Amino acid sequence: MMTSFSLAAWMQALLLAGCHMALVMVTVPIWIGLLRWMAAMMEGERRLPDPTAHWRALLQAWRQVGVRSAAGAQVTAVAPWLALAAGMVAALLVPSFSIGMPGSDLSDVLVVGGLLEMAFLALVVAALAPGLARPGHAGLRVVAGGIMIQPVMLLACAVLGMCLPDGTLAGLVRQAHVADMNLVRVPLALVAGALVVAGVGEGHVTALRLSAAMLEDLAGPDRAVARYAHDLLAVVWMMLARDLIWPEGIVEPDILPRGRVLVPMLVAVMLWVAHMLLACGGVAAIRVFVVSGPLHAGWRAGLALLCAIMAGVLLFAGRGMG
Amino acid sequence: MVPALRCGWLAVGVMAVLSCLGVVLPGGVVAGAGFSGDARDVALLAPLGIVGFAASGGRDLAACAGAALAVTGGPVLSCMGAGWVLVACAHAPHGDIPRMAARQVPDLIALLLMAAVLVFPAHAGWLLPGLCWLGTRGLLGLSFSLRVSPRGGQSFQMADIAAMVAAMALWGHLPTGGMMADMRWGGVLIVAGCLLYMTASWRALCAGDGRRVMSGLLGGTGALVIVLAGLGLLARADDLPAMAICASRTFMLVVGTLLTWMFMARAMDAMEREAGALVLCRLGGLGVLMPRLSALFSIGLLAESGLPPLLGFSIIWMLLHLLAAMPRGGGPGADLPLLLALLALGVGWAVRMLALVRIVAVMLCGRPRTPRGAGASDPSGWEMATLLLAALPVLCASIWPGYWLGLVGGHGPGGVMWPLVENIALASPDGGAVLYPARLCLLVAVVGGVVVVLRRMACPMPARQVAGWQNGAPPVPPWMVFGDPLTQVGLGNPARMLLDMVVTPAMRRRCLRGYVRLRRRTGRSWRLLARYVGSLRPDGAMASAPVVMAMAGMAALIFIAWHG
Repeated sequence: MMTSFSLAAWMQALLLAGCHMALVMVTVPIWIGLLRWMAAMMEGERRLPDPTAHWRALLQAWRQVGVRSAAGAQVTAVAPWLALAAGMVAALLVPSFSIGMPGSDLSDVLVVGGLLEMAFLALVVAALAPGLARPGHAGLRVVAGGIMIQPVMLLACAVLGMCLPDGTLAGLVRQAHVADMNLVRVPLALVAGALVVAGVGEGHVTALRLSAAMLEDLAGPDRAVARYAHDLLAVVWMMLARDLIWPEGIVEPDILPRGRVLVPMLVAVMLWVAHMLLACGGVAAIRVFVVSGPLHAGWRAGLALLCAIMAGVLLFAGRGMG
Repeated sequence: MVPALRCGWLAVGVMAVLSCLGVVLPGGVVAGAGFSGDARDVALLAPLGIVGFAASGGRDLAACAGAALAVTGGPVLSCMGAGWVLVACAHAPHGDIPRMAARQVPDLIALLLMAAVLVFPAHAGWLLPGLCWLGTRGLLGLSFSLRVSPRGGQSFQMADIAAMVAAMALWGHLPTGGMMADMRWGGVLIVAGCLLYMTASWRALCAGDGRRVMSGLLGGTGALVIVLAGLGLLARADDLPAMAICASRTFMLVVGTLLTWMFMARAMDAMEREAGALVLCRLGGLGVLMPRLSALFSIGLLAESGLPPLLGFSIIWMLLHLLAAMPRGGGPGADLPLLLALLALGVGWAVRMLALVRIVAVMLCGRPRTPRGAGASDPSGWEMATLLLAALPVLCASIWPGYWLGLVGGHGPGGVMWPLVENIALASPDGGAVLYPARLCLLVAVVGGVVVVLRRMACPMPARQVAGWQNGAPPVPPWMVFGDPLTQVGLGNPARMLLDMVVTPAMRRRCLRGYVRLRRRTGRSWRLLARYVGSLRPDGAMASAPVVMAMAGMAALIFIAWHG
């Protein structure tokens, strides 16, 4: 009896994970296209980019013949796929519409952030491998600009660990269903903002130029996979921020009544879509109005660290008062 | 002689492992006078035996012998062993600048004082953590200095790992020095450790030699030892046994990373033999020339970087939860030190990561910069197999850190042999947060396997390799980077980019000028002082500043002891 029950739970977890991964992987280029469209609109450009053009560019790159530079060919062949694998593991750990997927007890911010960082570094290594000047220097600039995610991750993990007993995203969702989250909502929103500011380089002109230069000498499926992995990282950071701000939007499959499972799931998916749209708008607004300018890397790091520290201070002050 | 000694060290390591597993050796463990027969010390002998087996020269073996004395000895003998390791490390190999200098005299004096205070702890027992810090400064490679000059920085050798084991043994032997003293020293050590981690990472980022980069990274590991010692002192002072146990478990995980350093040292030896001196501006493209060794080296770098799923990540995770469990006072201001400590640690971690990216970018990626480097190839089968074997314990300890902790914790066979989930998890001090490294590795492996299958199915045709991008260009020689070796990513770029994020280049230049001017002025005042002191002593013999400082410290100690 117990075996069949655990088997059913495993099947449910696998089904949920499959649905979640399909939803995330299919929508990644759409979110990035929308994000660029929103950023262009906020900057007041006359010709707005087509949100679906990103999908088409990826498909076109995928269909091209694969060509690699002989220098570093082994590294170039592996690194984009490694980035994709690390990004997929991170995407699996960040719930979109439901918890209860395999590995939900590993959904620590430090684990997710570390996997995303590994994927990011794999992309940089793919740019550095052929030993060319332009992509290599662009890669180093990108990595130097985004490296301050690590103190932000430590601070975010500490803040989340103080809000929750186990410090995982699944625990946060479970707690959001049974307890009042208003006391910790502002610190968590600040942490989410810090993670997005430090982790997502999309939407800014200089960052776009650098990331394009970083991957410009890859060709064929390598290029498509590298660009897709790059986009996946930005989307997973946004999903993580969304989960920290609106954990109530995620359903818990254990508490659903047996007969009516699909309706809450569909509502949760719709909520996820709406929240991701908001997240895209928020990221575009941050990029256009807050951390624009030539010194954006330093501003990004400083603002992210400030937000993370403010989250900690607010959490402690709230505890002291309440 | 050296092979026989190495086999002896292997025997020591095997006996230590057997003793940790609970196997009763013939004769048992006999603690002689002046030696401590602690099980934890026996556990430290296991990694030391492996390091001794992997040692390549007499100097490393001498350092291992000193470290063994420091591990197994009582108060006096352990300090003597640590001093022995210091002297052995200072004995420079041929071609290197001698490292035995006046800078090691304070360390030796501090070790001497430490032995005295350990024997008579009633008089100045509260000074012990400070003396231990001073005494293990050279062993752990701690320095607040940002300079990476050959005189200031050390070159990474196998003896440095033995030195680190000796320093860890000294920190493990530290007795309780009273509640208030331990609390204060704990706070000081945590702050100092975070700063030392930052400076060591910076040295690793700026060093121009592969071995000096590694010694900067090893210094970061040494700084973590100091932070953990501070956390352990705080836990003891506030009577938090769960936190103390968690700190000691993290300490043992750091001991596990020494195995990573061991195989990294062997890999660097092989690289140096194949590609010449590991000067970063002469290296490049080793990832293509020696792919297997580079893959192993990358695994070591990943384990040291603190990214999941290897051992470095477990250490960072435990350290974060230990810092969060630190006892704090009331009020919002009392929590600020925790945030600042995390910030400093995180910035140090970020700089360390950038240093690792730099090593990968310059050494492993790109094209060879010199013909000597272009001639490198993977070592022969037997040597490669030994390197693979050396990497195996690290991988096992990364996936199942619970087994490693059970082994070095001296559990009986029932505690170590295959308990399922309980012993594989790492728990935070309050027990709320739990990390399952084995499950994380399994998840990464499963998704990685899915991606591999996807790649096989989606891209059946292999990509075409071309020597250059220009159509019709003549084939380039393998050591030339499209006409100009200097177009590749260079050494100074990452540090400069990081500085550009903080201050603009113009402001930096102005600050540098001010610093130089200030140094010139202070140098002038030092010269005046030296002239004054020289006029007091007509024979003209001058003592160096560290010696004078250590003498002044000793005089202050005598003064304090005299007046109670």
